[in-house]
Order: sequence, then C-alpha cells, then structure tokens
Amino acid sequence: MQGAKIADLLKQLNYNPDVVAVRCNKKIAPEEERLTNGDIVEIIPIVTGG
Amino acid sequence: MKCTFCGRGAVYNRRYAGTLLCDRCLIKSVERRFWRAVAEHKLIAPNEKIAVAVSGGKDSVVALHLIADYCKNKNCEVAAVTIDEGIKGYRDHSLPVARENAEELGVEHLIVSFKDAYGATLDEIVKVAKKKKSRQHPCTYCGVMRRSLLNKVGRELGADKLATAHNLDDEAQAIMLNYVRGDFSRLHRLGPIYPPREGFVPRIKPMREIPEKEIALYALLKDIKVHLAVCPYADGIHTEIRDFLNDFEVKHPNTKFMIMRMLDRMKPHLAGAMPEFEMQRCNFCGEPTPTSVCKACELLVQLGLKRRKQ
Repeated sequence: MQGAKIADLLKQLNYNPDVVAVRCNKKIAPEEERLTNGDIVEIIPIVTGG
Repeated sequence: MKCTFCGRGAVYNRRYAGTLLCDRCLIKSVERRFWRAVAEHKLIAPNEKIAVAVSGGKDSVVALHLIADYCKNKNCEVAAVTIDEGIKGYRDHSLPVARENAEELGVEHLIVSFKDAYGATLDEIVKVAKKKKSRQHPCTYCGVMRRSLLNKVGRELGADKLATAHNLDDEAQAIMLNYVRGDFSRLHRLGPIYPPREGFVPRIKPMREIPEKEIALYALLKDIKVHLAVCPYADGIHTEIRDFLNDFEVKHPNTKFMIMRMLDRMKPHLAGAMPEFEMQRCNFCGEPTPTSVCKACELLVQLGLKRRKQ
C-alpha cells in the first residue's frame, strides 16, 4: 500500500469512511493521508447503538 | 494534510463542507454546533434541571460532557439517567462506562431497569415475543418502553428537560424511516425539541447538528471513555436505511444535512396538520397516553407479560 491513501485501504477492505475512525501510527488521521511502508493502521468502527 | 483554518496537521476531512480540520478545530467546531443548537432552539434555560439519557455509548457520553459543561455556567442542575434494558453482553458492558463518566463529571446518576419497571428484561421480552411469533422487532419493544421509562424517571426527578443524544445521522435516518413507512404522525413530531404536553418532560436533542463520525472523533481526541459496540438486536429496516444513507453520503456529501434541513423547513407548514387529542392516563400504569392504554402496556399485554384488567 506504499503511497496509497487511507481511503484506498478502506475501499479495498469494504469500509464506508463514515462508519470508521482511523488511527495511523496511534494518531487520528484523515482518509486522504498517504501510507508508507511500516505504518500501523487501526480501523475503529464508530457506528454503534441500536 | 493541513487544517483549512489554522494550518496544523489535519485529522479529519469534512467532505460535506470541503474543509480539513485539525484536532483543536474539530473539537471547537463540535462544541460550537452544540452551543448553537441550544441557543437557537432555546433548549436549555438558566436554572433548569436537565435529565440526560446516558447509555454509555459515544453519543450519550459526549452529550453528557457537553451538557454538564454548558450547565456549569447557567446554574443548571444535571442528572444522568441510564436505562438498563437487560441486554446481556451489551448493556452490562456500557453501564459501568456511563457510571464512570457521571462520577468523573460529578453528576447525579440513576440506573433504572426494565426488570424492575416491567418485570422482565428485554432479552426475556424478546424470547417471549419469538415464542408467540410476534411480528414486532425487538427495537419496537425497546424503544417504546425506554422512552416511557425515561419520561417517568425524568418527571419523578423534577427535570425541566430530558436530553437525548440523537445526532445528525439518527435524525436523517428517522426522517427517512418515517417517509418509507408513510408515518406522517411521527415525522412531523421530529425536531430539536418535543414540546411540553401534560405528563411529558419536554425532550431536547442538542446533538442533532453533529454527524455521528464527528462525535466519535471528539470522544477519541478528548480521550473520553465510551462504549463502542453495536446492539445485538440491531438489524432490519433501521440498519438498511443507515447503510443506504452512509453510502449515499459518500457519493453525495451533505445529503444527511439536506434531509434534516428539508424537514426543518417543512415543519412550520405542518403545524396543525395533525388533529389535537386529549391526553389520558394509561389504565394500567397511569402514564400519559393519547389512548386508554399506553403503547408499553399494550405490548406487554399482547405478550401475556401483563394481565388485562377485568
């Protein structure tokens, strides 16, 4: 995914960006941020409740 | 990626506005939207007592933090109310989160259970409903009984307002749901405030201008402890509409706001479109209702969990 955006990763994993928050290397990141090798990406589902 | 407003590193792309926001600007913006909604619709007046429905989920916990902060300067009293529906593996995990946040904020906290109020947990009610082949969705039992109980507790607490944490997504979903069901009566009651009626504590929605994702980011950025989980009973038409709107919002940003704005613009023209009715008291529980038996008691009677009066 070198050079790809977080948005590309979410699309590949079939996540709608409105239903998740993303931490890249422990920091909240926008979907437009580009990834580099070794980045640790955490996808947090935020749509909750009933 | 730089913040459109201050040039710091961005954490969020607000697609519907075409702006990028850093952590500080996002936090400020969420708080401003809350304050603006409260001021514009006169949701909270000085010296009032505000009961806040708090499940422990992100929306209600963030609402509690914002309301408690706002009320500090307005000489208002705040009480958190948690309804324990009795959903094993879900509500028992969120209750401690609600309690911890109320304690941290120094807010009075009440927990009221379905079991105590209705004699059965939601899990038990759903089990009976399945056995009886009821066509009602678990959300119907839960929603009707939770609303009734919140109102009762709010009234007993002497609250002037009952705040719920409905966000922009919830409001847009409710509007669409009532459209597809053709439920005009429910549709025209939606809005930032449900006006006072005898026996009802006026319900306010100070979070309806804030998208769900921004509330979640606010909680994460401010390190507020919240319970992030999906109710095991959540499925059916509610989730279909939610997924549809989320997909549509990505393709056509600002859709959720436009749906809500449209209703807000229509509302003044809808006033008087529904016949007024006299409030009565439920024959079973004494709660206010437009008919002789409230919806909560009607559902329980149908399941045989409450005896019909002779």
